[in-house]
Amino acid sequence: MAQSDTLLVVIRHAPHSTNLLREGLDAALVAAAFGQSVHLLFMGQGILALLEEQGSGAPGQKATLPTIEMLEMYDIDQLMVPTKDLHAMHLSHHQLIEGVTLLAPEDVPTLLQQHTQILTF
Amino acid sequence: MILHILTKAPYSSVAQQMQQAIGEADAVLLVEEGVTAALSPSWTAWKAYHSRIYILAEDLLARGLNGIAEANELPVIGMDEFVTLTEKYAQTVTWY
Repeated sequence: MAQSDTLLVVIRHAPHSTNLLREGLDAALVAAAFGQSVHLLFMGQGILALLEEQGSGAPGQKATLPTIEMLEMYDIDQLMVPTKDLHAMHLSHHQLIEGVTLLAPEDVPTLLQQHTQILTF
Repeated sequence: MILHILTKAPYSSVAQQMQQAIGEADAVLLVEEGVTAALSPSWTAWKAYHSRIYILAEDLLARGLNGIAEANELPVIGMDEFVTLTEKYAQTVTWY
């Protein structure tokens, strides 16, 4: 059954392509700052935000990794990735930052059911 | 029970991500570019989510696809039924 009052933020866009990744992380941080429990699910291109070796992108563009590393300060420690998407991106678990949980395909629908509020970015 | 609203074409990566997340008791509504699924009667989702997948009439009409949807006997619904769906399903997730 649905967990009480937990926000799931689904991030599906890569760094440096649109603002959607940054907006998703900002939404998660703001919710956490107001005391809400937040979990993050990275799908498709969004997985690229979790790569360990990231630069800051074009001059003047803020890097993503510092924001990702800040999540823990806000008690956002559930970062999840579907294994199907990871393999589709030809990436492996050790290329991602620490603390990422892999989800089997059958666990993704269950994850959504467990959250009362879901935002997609 | 989640209502998944797809705004992108059936063979897009967005549609694939949505299909990963659909549970047994969930429903799907195709809107905006998602209604181009009317051109793909063999799209797996039609069968996989039979009786719980819908396509929005207003967006079909806007794209001149209403005749094709009718010919393929697809589950077309109007805006009123869209509202009813959002009341029936506790959560709504939009994929765009």
